[in-house]
Amino acid sequence: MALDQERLNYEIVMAIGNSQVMDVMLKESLTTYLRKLNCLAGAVFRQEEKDGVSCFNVVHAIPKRMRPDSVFRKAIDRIPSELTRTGHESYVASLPEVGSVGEFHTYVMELPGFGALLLVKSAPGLSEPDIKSLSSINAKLARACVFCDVNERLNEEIVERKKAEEKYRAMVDNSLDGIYQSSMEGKYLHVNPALARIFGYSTPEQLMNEVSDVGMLHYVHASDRQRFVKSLLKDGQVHMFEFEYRRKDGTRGWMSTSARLNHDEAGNPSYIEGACRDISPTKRAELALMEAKLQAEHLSQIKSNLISMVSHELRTPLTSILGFAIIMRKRLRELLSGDELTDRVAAILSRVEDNSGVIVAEGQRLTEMINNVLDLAKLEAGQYEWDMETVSLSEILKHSVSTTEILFQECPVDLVGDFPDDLPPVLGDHGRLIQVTINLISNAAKFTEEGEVRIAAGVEGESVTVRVIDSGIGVPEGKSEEIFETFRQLGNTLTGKPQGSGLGLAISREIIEFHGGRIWHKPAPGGGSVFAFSIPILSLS
Amino acid sequence: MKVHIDTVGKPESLKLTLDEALADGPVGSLLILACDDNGFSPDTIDPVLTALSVPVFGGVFPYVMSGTDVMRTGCVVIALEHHAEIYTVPGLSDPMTDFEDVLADQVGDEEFKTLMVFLDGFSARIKAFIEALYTTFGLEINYVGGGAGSRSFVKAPCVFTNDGMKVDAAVIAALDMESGVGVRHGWSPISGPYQVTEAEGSKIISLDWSPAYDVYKEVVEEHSGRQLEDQPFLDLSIGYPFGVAKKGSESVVRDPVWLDAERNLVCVGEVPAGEYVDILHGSADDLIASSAQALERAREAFPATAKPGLTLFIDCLSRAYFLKDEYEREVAAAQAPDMPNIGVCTIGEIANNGRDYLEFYNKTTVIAFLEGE
Repeated sequence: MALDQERLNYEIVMAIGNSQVMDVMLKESLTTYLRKLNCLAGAVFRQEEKDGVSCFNVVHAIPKRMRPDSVFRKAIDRIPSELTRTGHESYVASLPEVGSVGEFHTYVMELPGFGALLLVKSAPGLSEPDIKSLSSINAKLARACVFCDVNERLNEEIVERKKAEEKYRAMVDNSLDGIYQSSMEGKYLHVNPALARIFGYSTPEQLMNEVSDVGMLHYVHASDRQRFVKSLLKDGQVHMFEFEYRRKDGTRGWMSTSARLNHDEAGNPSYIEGACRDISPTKRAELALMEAKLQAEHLSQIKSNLISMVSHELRTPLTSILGFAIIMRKRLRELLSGDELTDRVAAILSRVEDNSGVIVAEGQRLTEMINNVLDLAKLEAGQYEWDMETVSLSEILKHSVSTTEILFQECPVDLVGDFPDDLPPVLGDHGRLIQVTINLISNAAKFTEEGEVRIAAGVEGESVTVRVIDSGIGVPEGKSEEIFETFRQLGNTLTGKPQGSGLGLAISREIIEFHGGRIWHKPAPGGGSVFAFSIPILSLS
Repeated sequence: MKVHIDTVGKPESLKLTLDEALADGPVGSLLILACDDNGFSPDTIDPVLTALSVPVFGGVFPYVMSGTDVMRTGCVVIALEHHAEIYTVPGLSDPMTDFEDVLADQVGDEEFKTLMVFLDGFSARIKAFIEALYTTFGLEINYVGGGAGSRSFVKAPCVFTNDGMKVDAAVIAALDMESGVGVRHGWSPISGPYQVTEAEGSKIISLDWSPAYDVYKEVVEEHSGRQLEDQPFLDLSIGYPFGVAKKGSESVVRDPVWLDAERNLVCVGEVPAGEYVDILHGSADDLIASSAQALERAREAFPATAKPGLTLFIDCLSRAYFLKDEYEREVAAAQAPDMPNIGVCTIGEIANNGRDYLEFYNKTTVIAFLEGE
């Protein structure tokens, strides 16, 4: 190689690969090629392959501006595009290619592993030795191009990883929960701002600097720390471990932490990482709830005791009063049925017999009321012992009708049963359901002076619905809900209208709602009332 | 194409000359070549330039030639029939300026055949600008121009544009006008090659890892028989430029014009580290013969289908300094008969005839035949 060419080649080589950015690198390199070889134009091509088709794409060209009829454009267009793999191999094997466009010489040379280099030169062109001498330089240019590609990919990957890291770092730093890593000895390795705030420190750095032993400084009870570590060592992780903690200013709170144990390559416990949350408000509420529960239980116990007391202390004398009142009336009736009495005595005894009837009736009413109060108290306290089984509402209704027929015997009101024999079974307490039905029929009897009381039942949707329809005095408008409240009675107790204890419907509601059903009232067409309840059918409940 | 001469060299006289040129037939654009000794400044000249209604370009140069007359004061105004598309590039020394971007923002799809470029010859990134110029405009046009500035080597506003007189800037006039360009310098290597092992921009620090000044001094003193330090540096260095090898063409000359405080050689134009340079020398006859050769090359390069209207002679100031009294012969050798001959002494030359890579030359003669009536 002539010394001049050697020098030129050296200068070109020195200008190659001085940057890791493709554009910058090629700008310097290609410019030096053109200047030193006195070429008019040059381009670097990247060989790309897709779906088995290979083509050369321009990566950098000098000059960039080309007229459509430009010599340079024509030279570029001569580079083959869309070669098969075999065609590409043949083409590359044929390089360097010497050609011409008009009066200009063109040279296409391989850039091994990257693509190709095109140079356009005016006369005199490059000699064969000159072209050969460029092959090692071209190889260096090719390596520089490949390196720039790799560098670009690496930079893109670094950017992606940085974005991911920033995203996760933001999640950690912006988290409202405290996040930490600590050594087995209790020294913080990393904390997020939330953890510092929870413990009352200004910055994570301050927390890490000032706390050398988490167990000693943060745990109010050392035993909690011991339990925590023990659980970690045993299971490798801990979920929602609660403990009382101490803040920087000495105040206390409650913390819930979930953590896992990390191991080193040898499998030894290495460090702990976890998240924690201040649960002081929740804990306070929990403690308040516990206290309220204890108090409620206490009150419930008092209520139970009251119920027991009432059950015994009220019923016992009432039983005596009622019992003897009934005996007294019976005796008076026996006396009145005889002939030994004078008219005056008979009249007095008759009044006494009437009065004793009132005593008995009121005593029975008081007994009923006490029983209802006790029932309701048990129901509300959840102390009722239910006997749930598969029952037939048809059978229950028949029984109820049969039991209450006596209430209708001496009044101009008909009791009508209008229900099928094959109502679907329900899950219920047989006795309580009878109680409800009898209560409704009894109420209807009390508040109906003439007409009928009809018991109807049928399947409606997924439930069996029972209706007690009367032609009685009805319920005043707007009172349909009120009548189910405790101690609500219809009518004025002083005017002689039929009276209730005011608890029957309330008890009935408790019973039906326990069964998963519903009880309600609505006015009957033409006057009167419809009291209805529904209970889910067994197969669907 | 008409030439108008202002021999006075004052802003008022320039204005009169411009008015005369504009009144004298259709004018597409104006080229103004002004002498350094006029003492023009933006304060005095901007009102004249900004008032012009046609594109204007040009600058301030150490000397301006009208025929064989070398003017030290005054201006030459060339009224071109062709409209010039003017592009200006500021910040030629700013390391952050991306010249390709600046040009891309201005250049459209216009077609032209000749690019005339005048720039501040003391800017620091002329090489980068020239590369951007070539990358942007391509190879199928002719480039001709040079570096404007003062022969005092003090950097000052020296480039003319429609926005006024600019420093550290370039003005480019793109003309759809035929031209033929010839470039020769006539210098020959006397020693070398030396590798530029350390350099900073236009400053050569070491050659073959020896202080550049020491290497240069040894060669120059041996060849000239004189001591470099017995006179101002430029007095002797003027005859001993560096030459950067270029394949199939004369080497590109780099003129060392002064020493900096560390006694590094400062040239006109960059000399990148890694390049090989020779130390050149030439005789007056060699240089003058090269000017005549440049004229012939320009004539050969001018299309036969067009008619030349003027020659533009762009000659390096340092050739004038070197040739001294012989400079008249150089100027005479560059004259083409039967047409106006206009010239400037420049600080660096720009030329390309569509056959070579575009370069910023030193100590070189560039002659362009320009199409006109």
